[in-house]
Amino acid sequence: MSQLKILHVDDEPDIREVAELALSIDPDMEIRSASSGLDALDVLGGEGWTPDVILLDVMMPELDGPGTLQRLRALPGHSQTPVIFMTARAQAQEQQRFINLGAVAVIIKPFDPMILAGQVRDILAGAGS
Amino acid sequence: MTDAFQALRARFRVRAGEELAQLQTLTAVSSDSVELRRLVHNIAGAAGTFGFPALSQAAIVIDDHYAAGEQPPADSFRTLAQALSDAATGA
Repeated sequence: MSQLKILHVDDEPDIREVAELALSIDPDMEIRSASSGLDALDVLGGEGWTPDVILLDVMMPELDGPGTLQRLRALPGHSQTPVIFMTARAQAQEQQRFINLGAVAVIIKPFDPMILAGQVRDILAGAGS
Repeated sequence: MTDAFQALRARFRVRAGEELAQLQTLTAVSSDSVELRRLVHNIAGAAGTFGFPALSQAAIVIDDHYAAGEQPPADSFRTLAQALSDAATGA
């Protein structure tokens, strides 16, 4: 299985920790976490590490998920980086809105930590087909 | 994974007790505020991940009302408070 670099962005420390744990089930996933949209933009704008996919919480203070997505698209090298939104808003209309914003998929929270890594792999396999 | 997850689950129980206190404080003032919406939304998104699906569901009911521009019924806050209490005490 190919190495996959993942940036997970969520303002809740417990969720970041359990997501890191969940994604580490897959030994070929390299995970970094960011505690806010602004923190994520700092990581993405820095040198030396480029994620293959970004897991982005929707509701965050200061800069929310959609706002973060808009700004990261303007960063060099990130116009096409796949973004998966993570949200507790499960309504189909909301999910479609997130897709229309440019996300490749939406993972509904609460997520199951036992299957999160597989979900991410499946989404990316589908997005690339 | 299992030991680490159990440790996180135990920590979430403590957090549930703290969130119950927050919920009671916030709803004593208003049934709709930015802080209350954020608290409810965070519970909705997190609790199930830590093995408390009923708690997530109780919060999702309220979150859905907010998302629809509706005032959540008073009963829904009582249900959420009970679910937080259950999670905190292991009931």
